[in-house]
Amino acid sequence: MGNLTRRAFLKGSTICLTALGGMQLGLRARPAHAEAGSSSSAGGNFFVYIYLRGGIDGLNMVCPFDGPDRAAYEQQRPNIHLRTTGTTAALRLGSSNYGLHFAATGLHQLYGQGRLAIVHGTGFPVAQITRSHFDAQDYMEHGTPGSNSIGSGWLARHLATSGQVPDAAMIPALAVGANAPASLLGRRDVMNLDDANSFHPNSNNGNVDGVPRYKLSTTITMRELYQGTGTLNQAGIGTVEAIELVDTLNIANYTPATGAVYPTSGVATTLANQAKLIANIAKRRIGLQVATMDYGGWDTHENQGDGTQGDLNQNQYGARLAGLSQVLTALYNDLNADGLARNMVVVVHSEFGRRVRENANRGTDHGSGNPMLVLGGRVAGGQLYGTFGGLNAGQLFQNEDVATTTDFRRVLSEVVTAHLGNNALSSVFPGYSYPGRLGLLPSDQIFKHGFEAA
Amino acid sequence: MDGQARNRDVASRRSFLGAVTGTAVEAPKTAPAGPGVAGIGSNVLAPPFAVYVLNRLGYGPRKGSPFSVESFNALGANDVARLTAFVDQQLAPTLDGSGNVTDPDVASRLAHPDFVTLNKTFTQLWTDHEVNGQPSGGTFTRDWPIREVERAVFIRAFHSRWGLFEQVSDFWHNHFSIYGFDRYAAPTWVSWDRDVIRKNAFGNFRTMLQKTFEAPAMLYFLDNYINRAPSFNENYAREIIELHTLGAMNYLGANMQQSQVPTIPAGEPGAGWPTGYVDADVYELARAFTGWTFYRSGSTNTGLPYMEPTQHDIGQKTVLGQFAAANTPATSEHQLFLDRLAYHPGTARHIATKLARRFLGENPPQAAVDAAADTFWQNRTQPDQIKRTLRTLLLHDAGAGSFRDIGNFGNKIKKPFEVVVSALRALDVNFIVRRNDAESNSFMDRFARSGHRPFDWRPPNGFPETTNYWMGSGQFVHAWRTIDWTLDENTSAGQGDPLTPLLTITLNEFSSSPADHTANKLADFWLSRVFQWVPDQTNGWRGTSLHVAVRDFMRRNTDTVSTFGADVGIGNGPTGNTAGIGTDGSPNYWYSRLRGMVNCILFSPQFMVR
Repeated sequence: MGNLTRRAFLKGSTICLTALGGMQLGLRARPAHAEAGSSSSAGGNFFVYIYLRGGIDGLNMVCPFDGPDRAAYEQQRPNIHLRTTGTTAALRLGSSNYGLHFAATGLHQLYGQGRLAIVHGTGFPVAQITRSHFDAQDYMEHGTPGSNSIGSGWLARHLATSGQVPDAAMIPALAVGANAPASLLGRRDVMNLDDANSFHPNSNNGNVDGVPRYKLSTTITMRELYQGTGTLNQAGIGTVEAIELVDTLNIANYTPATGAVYPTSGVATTLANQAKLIANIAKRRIGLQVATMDYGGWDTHENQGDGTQGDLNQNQYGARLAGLSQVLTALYNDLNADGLARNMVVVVHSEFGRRVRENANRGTDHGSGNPMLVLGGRVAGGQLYGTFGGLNAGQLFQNEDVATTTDFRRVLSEVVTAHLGNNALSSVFPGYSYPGRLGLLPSDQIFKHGFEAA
Repeated sequence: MDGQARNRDVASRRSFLGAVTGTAVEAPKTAPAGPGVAGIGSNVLAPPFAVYVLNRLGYGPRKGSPFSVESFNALGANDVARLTAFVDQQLAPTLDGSGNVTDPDVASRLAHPDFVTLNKTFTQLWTDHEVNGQPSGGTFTRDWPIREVERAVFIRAFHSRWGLFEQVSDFWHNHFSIYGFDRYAAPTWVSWDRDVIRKNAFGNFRTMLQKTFEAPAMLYFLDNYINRAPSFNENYAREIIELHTLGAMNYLGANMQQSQVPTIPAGEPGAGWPTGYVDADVYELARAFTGWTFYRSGSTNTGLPYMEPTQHDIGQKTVLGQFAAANTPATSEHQLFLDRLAYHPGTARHIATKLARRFLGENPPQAAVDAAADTFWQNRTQPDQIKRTLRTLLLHDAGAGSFRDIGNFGNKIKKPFEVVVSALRALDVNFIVRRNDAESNSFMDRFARSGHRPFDWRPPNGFPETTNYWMGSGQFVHAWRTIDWTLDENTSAGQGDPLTPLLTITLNEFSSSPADHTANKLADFWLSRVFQWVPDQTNGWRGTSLHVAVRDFMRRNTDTVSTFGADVGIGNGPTGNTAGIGTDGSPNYWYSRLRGMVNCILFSPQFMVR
């Protein structure tokens, strides 16, 4: 789709602007980002944070394919280890000693194209390791290992401190799903949207001239009702704006680019719809900065799928991972077709990895160190980053888990600084001493082709 | 936010309003913002004590019911006396011979052919819905129990006189949270709800813990049914400590060993026991739970729990300082360890803290939490332990932030379930959400998008209690949309037509005279009707910004530009406006507009907090 200027946007609005002066859109101080005349390839940079709830078994996503850890891997996981031959052979990552799960064909392709990077052994500092899902998620999303008392999420603090968040952004932050995640806690301009269809309280109503009766009148009144300074007031106004933007921008109407094939069935259907919503909004170039979505079901304590189980209907872990792979590939292709792949960085994160040894039920229990995935057009992909701690005697954390060798904040800090252009790391990750870039992203700052002055 | 034109408009309305009332309306009180209990909405007015209590301890007042402002106010001479009497009344619900809470207003509505599973025993449920729940070519009934209960919880919340019991049941459902549509949860959900949760909701925690430990729904959900020696599955053992008993607040981390944990000093509850737990306690408990599973196939397909000796780790174990020697019979071993978990003072603190956050606010006074924890611990073997704990928590006076502090009003948001239920109570809706009719399904489909469908929470930690979690635009929109649907719906399924008796209430309780049907008066009437209180005895809700906004909705014509006179009766002229409030024709659509106005009241910050 072409550039959408604010003028065109307002002109296209279905709402009676003469009567209301346009203010009901909440756009008075928010010209669309594209107004500055940026080319289609130079929209603002944005970040997509995908959280895999439940603790993904990262060792079966990225496994030792050969090399010194292979024997221990097979021995510790007699049933579920990924094979190196046959129809369920792991997909070797370049010329490395590591392979991707056989169901992650899309991710393997992106890795081959140099768009996907993998960081080994990420997690908490050793002293803050926890095997509780809820603590681990909470600490991570707050960005403060060992604590959640800061009261705001790390992404919210990024938005608050980024000098680059333009006033113009119509939807600076998008949380797709029934709720916003803790990483955005404290941010009140997050659009929280599960689905753009029927996203209006009056959408049940009878129509007048094709518009639900009192739909507009209701939002006018809601704006009055939620005037004020409390968090509830802000949430209410945010809701009204979300309703109006979804309606006025006709978000429900979206066709992905040719070649962006989002799965329409299976375990990742919801994730696909969520990713589509992110692509949809990113491609409108209305100032999207961060978007989040969740993908649960990774707490695979039992029958996660044997290494020989190629039928994904019988392999729950494989099916879920295949879904993730398809969705990420579709999302990348969708944005790439629109010239926006270079503006996007996706990070795939989970609260912890799982134990190296498989349990009695061909599943895995809670562990710690885990890979993070980093995807985007500017990502120096096709490489493994960080250090894999090894699976042999003396190398595991507490004789059980893949060692944590890279603080998860290091990966996120690189994205915050080198992609989102925010150097206020002491606010985003207070107390964290950033040792510097891993090299996931080019070192040149993004200011030139990032956000123009609004 | 608003354009200048709009600001001028508001100002002029205010002057206009002043002229109408002819009195200087006293500035409304706003809820005070005490330490840690600051209201979340800046324009929220503090209600009378009764309204606060009924919204906190139940699902809001229902006029004319035993759970109403008038009933509360009849209980004593002052707020403290009324609160004490009310809490004692609520903590002593009527019971049937089996110890189940009774309520004629609920029972009459559940006596419908669409609720066929609610009275079945566990064994009947297992046979009918698990063993025979999906016969080839027959009716799929496996999920009837969950689908009937998820709807029955609406009916109970709509009508129950035992609002506190319903809230506390919801609390325990979330404390021992199971995804209701899970494999063995769905067919047995009636028993889980009735025999495990509700039967013990005011009872003894250790007893309830035992019942959860024996429920196939739990053993399956947290994987213990396949927890086998020698390589155990820790899932259930971890969550029973982290979520159900001691809580993460007593987790000392992955880096400490049992031998490094300090013990509780002499003279304190639990003296000599470890102060908290470490991963090793989880692993030891997981070993104790190996082989603990349930019958689910063959000739013993009963759903009952049992120990499979060949899968049980018979070695010695130590959990939280409790030692069990090798070869201790599994039943004794389980009892030792579950006793230790349930009786640990950390569990008392965990439960007391969660209850306080539920009923007082997110930062409850420590003294109130401590008092409740002490009651919980001192009464750990009493059959009414939880009842006593609640009584302490709700009546304890620790100053600001205690339950009796009206300053708490507005420090919590209503979750979507509470928004919708309290709205339908306020409107006297008599909708029987059932398993099997189109209207009920329409309602549930809309509500589900709020993210708060009952028992539809997959992780084992239950729906969050924090206000921040429930302030997303999606949650708001879908709760509101569910209310809007209920207001608009004319049903054809014998549920009453229309579903919401908006017009009837307007005509019967307010006035049937068109001259009275002015925007000003209708707004005032419905604000009073919905909230069950007025800020000013003379002027009602007039003079509040809420009245202005709602009144203006009623005045605003469908073109959203022109307005109808605020003091002109609808259907009372002038020319062109002779159609009355109950008509829904072009151009004014008065009946729709009335529904829309009530919507606005229910969507307002004043209604969204509690």
